[in-house]
Amino acid sequence: MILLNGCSFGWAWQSFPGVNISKTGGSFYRSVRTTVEYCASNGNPNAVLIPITFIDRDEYITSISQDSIIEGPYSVSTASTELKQLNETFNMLSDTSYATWDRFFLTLTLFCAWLEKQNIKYIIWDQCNKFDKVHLTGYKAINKFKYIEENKNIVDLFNFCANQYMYDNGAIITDPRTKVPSQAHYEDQYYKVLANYLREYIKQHNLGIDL
Amino acid sequence: MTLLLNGCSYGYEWKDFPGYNLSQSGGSIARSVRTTIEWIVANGNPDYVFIPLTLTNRFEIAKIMEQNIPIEGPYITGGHTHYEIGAKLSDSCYLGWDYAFMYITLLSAWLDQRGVKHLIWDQANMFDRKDIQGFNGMEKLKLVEANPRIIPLFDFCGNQYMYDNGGEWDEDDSHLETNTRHYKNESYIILQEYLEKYMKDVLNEKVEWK
Repeated sequence: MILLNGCSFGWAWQSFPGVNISKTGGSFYRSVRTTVEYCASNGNPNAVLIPITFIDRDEYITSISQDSIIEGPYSVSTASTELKQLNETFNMLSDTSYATWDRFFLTLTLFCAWLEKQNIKYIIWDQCNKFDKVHLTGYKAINKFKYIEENKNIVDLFNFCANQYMYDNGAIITDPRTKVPSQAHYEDQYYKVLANYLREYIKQHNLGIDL
Repeated sequence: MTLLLNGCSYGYEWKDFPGYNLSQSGGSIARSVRTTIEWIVANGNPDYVFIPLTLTNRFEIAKIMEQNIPIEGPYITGGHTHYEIGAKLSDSCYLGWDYAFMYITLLSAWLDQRGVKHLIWDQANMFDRKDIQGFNGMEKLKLVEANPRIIPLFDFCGNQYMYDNGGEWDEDDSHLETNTRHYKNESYIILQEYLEKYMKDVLNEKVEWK
């Protein structure tokens, strides 16, 4: 069994041949947290696939939160206007995007180590951020990034963005909310393009995942 | 033998700790995890890492106009304004606990992967299961409880243990609960002896405290 866990961009992959616990509005931290929770509850899948959502998203626990198995009592930061505003206010406490990047790199590094310790095969890629190294210029204490660059299970974050790739390879934007290719939602049929890319990557890097 | 300690002020007070003490007053669990990794990337593997878990409701923010240094980066500690917003964003202890459980599970795996021996314990929270009764999404606690490198969180609290065994605290902290007081450097021998015994009995390991 293979497990997919991202945000709405993962959820849109309706024909995914496995268990898809992606959730609209979900953060990367939700993906990590609920993957660990899923494994603790259901046993380890053969492989985990994580499409990285916008890294500035977070999650909170408020009176409007749900409370369910695996998900717990969290709300995604896009769940309501009030939470969106609180998330913005919280992010404004920092005067730099450094913490957003650093927390992401840290969690990604640790998550990979955990998956490897559990003997779970995995592949992780950027779905929508279209990362650019220029945004990291001058930051210190970000040395942990080298673990990410060296990890073949993480598709090169600065050279691949799945939504952009789908667009560049024929996907049509029907998303009324945006015309930006890297941030648009595509129909299920176009995920074949992504699946083919991942299959080729998995083969080339001998990751042993049957997608 | 290179020993590394990384907690908050409760770690910092262990002045005679015989190794590198990265503990910082006001530090969060996120900081302990983050700076331990940064330190190891920059300096190589220590022989043993010790993480006394600070209060789980702490978090950190980055102010690059105030600070941009190796290991710590632009993160700052202290100041409680942001906790007011934090309280609005989370209406229970669940989030702090859940993320603490997740991050120590992940950190332990990362240290294992690098062959770094380590020990993690609660220093100040005095976790009680009744505080998380009824919450879903916390099966990951099973992973914490199955990990011998994490001293059972619901049975041991470093500060409380020092208090119960005759530890002396800073007078200024007398109004605080015994599990959140700062104990004097001389009292940390009590904690050290507990850790030493745990390492011997459970992990069959020993460190040279010098």
